[in-house]
Amino acid sequence: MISIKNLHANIEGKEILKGINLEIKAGEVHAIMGPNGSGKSTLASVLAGRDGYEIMKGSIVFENKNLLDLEAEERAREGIFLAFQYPVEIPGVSTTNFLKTAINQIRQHRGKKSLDAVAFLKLMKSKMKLVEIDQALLSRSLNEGFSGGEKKRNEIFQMAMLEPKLAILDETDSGLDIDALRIVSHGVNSLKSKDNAIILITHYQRLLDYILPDFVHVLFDGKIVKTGDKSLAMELEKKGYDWIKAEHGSLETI
Amino acid sequence: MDISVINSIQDQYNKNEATYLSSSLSHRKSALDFALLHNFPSRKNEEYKYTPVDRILKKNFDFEKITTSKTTALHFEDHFYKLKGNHLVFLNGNYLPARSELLNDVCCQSATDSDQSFKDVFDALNVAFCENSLKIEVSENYRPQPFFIYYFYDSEQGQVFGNPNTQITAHSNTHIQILEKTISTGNHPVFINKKVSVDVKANAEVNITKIQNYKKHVFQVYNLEVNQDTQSKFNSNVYSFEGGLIRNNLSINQLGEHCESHMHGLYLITGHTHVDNHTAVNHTQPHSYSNELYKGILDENSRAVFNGKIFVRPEAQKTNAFQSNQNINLSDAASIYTKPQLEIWADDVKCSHGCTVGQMDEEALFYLRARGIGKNQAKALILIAFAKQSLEYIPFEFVKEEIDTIIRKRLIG
Repeated sequence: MISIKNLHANIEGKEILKGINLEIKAGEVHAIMGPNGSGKSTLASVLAGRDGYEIMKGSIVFENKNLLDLEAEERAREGIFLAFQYPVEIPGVSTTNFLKTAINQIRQHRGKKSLDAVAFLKLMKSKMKLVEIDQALLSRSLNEGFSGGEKKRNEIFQMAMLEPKLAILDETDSGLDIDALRIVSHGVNSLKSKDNAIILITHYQRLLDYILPDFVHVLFDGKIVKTGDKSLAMELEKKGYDWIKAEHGSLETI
Repeated sequence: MDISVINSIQDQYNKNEATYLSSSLSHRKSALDFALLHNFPSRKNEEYKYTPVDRILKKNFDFEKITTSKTTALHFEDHFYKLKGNHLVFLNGNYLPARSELLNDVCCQSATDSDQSFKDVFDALNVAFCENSLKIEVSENYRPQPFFIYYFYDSEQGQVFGNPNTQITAHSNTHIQILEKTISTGNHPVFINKKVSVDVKANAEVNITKIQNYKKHVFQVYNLEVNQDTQSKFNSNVYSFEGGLIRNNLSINQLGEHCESHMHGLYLITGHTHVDNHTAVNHTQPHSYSNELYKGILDENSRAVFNGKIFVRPEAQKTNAFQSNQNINLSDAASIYTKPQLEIWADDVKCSHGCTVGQMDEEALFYLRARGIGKNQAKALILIAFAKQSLEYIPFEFVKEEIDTIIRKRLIG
């Protein structure tokens, strides 16, 4: 589905990603872990097409398309979804109104007819149950005054509505209490299928108790330095990142 | 005043003196004398620091080339809103009762402004040159249909110096709704020096909504003066989109207790459009309320000025006065000068004011794009949401839609 090769990316002249290689096939769940500052969120941003990153080297091919040639909105229409670590508050724009615009632009791109109000509401109702989100919340301004948990649930709700091929969940578990974590994980698990893939970016293996990954990668100093299965996450939880740092040498002294 | 301007103004006056003197009287002459003694405001005038009318007029307008033609090819009725109400027509600054459509139970008459004290040069010129003003008076306990006032300007045959004057009196327990629209034709410059005075008597309510979407060669100075009695309510809504110069002076005098005033505005400007809103609210009695919200979106080389004054006099205890001016600047070349000004002499009041100038929220823009919404559409969504709050107090649903359409057309294309 997506193939990342030797990806180098800078931000404001500083090299953050230093040669990432990652292959993801449909139906797979990949977890990316790593200490603070290792480049996890940068990778998510580069995949989603955020401005301000300079790609120095390497390639990303998504469903036979060169992803780096596409604008953020084009990537979304092709089926990439980023669940934000910090969802943005947008006053005056309701979630409902915004999602309707988004869905119809995506549908238009895929040569499908726009959803009318009735069909849209029906779709919304069915997906709302999945993340136990309330209608009243969706009529309000996007994320404005939402609690941390509500914001993250809204992200997964949007993922359910847009049905992406590749979903990147950037620390979706951070700031969630146990109940919210359960609801969010349940949502993600129900959306998982043999046709889509998920990248989970997380600090803790706790999330992986709920969403079982096929692969666990450790990102350190801009490179994937270790790949394993869920047991690698357990090991990290037990031993921390120091042994990885010792093995690969920290370039930065903190 | 500039000698050439004096000459041409005097000239204009002499040409029409017969009409002026026959219709009304010597106060026109004293108005003219006052005007000739005073200059159009320049940069040195604090109130016009960022809007030097003298320079703008000098560059764009020639008093010697003013047309006095009173014919027009304009079909006024074509521009009327298809709604029940009073449709009132002005042409080049003069009220045309014969071309207006009135419901017969309201009092709209031709009048002259016989005020003898002149606030400034614009005020005096308006009195000196307005040949036929409009007087709307609504008797007690009456709720008339809305008033649609169309100000037409025809500059096909030469430059136009229009001095419309409208006086509105809402007697006790009445409720008046007014919508003002300006329509122009012709390519010669137009200078509009407009004056509207509103008297809101006890328990009455007046609502004025203005759409200012002019051509680039239309320059306007608009003085709106409001006096409010006990428990009266006044709302002003002003939406500015284009014009060579748009200067709005809004001055509200709350003379009784328990008055309520709302001032809402939006300027969505681009090109070289210059919009200046100066507002002043004078709270003189206890238990009154004023609320002001002006929003601005500036692109290209446009320029906006906002100055909001709130005076709370010593007797005006328990006043609640709020003011906010928020701007989004989309271009490096656009500029906004904003200045809130509070002067409070009473000690038991609640007042707040604030100005913001910001740019497009890039994070919000990326968020919307990351969901598949195109860049321009995403920008429009954010800006429309920002602007929307200023439309809340428009009493006519169709005006909201009209303005919404202008905004969408401007932002989405």
